[in-house]
Amino acid sequence: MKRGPVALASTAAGLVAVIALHSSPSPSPLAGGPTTTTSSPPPPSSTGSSPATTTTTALPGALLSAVGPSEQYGYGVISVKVTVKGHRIMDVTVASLQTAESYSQQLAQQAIPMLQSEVLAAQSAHVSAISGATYTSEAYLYSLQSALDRLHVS
Amino acid sequence: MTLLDDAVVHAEPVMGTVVSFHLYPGSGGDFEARAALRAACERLHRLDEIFTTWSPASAMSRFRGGRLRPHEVPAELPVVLELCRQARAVSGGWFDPWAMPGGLDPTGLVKGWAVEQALGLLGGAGLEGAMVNAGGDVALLGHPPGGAGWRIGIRHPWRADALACVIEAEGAVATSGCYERGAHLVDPRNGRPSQAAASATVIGPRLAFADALATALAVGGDEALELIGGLAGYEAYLIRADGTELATAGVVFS
Repeated sequence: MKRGPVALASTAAGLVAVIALHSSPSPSPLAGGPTTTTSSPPPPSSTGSSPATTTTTALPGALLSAVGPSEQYGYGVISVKVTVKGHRIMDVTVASLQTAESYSQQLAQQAIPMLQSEVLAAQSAHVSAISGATYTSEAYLYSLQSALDRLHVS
Repeated sequence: MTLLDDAVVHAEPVMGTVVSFHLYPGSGGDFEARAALRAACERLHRLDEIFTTWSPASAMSRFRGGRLRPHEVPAELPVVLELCRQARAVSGGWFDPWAMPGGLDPTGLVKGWAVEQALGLLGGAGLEGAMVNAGGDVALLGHPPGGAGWRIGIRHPWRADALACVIEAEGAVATSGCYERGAHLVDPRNGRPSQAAASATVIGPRLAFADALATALAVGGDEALELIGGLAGYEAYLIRADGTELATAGVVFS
């Protein structure tokens, strides 16, 4: 498989970049891993949601985690907690979830474990974007993005 | 250096989802890219206002209810209805906004069309490449830096830890499926919920049609796939309800 610069740094730069890992026409000096990338600063977030909380430590390679703001999606409100080590997402969990009715709750409970794994899997998939039916996912990724921005993963 | 160093990235909550932009400024530079981005977002909000079926006050809702007076008809509405007619014709009726149980519902085409419009506004900004992703409906312009093409992962309908596949694409990619929102797709022939496909992807030059045809493919399965394969520039990839896969000859798996 061709490997491009696997920029989790890019994850901090944008929502799609959570799953944006680009192919490269030729082997890149960075092909070996995601840890030596740099990135432009994240753009200003347009969200007016509640502020995220951040736990940080200065140690390189330490686990850092942050909770993203609550984001509306079609059927409820979700916020996401992300834990990173260096430039790698180690874990993604749901910090809070509210849905209008039990059907949506049920669907979200089915979708969220998939999304968690999806984010982790996409890190090694080298794709520009993921196409698929989504409702919960975008709010999930948006909150995740904001959480990553708080961590300045770049 | 990463390929993403110069990317302008933005996520805009609109149309009941979040539309994300990934722009690679070319000759036009960063400033022009950001100006085009603002214009594209404004356009999406305007189109959302017209076409949302969530708001009873939107032009679309009032049109459906026969409450839109002729002088209030926005220019975009007949354009969308004409595209719906074309999509219905080329899909052999598998996409039919007029056959929905709740009355006329162009939702299956409008999101793709709106994103296509937004991408059109970005087209004048001298970008090297741009990607707009509206809840999994992806519109592409140019190419990402580095000369390689766009690689789009198709979400696996059941396996949480995997993509179903990765395809190389230009233009647009849309995927429809029931795995996140239950059986919400309706078979236009009988008005009943359809679960013919686990995941239905269409690749083609226009996202408006890719979007509508993905809906058609999700409902029409094998038969719709064959139809789409006959449309110039369009390709289809289907994961059937039983997990077996089928693709038209031109799909480039990577």
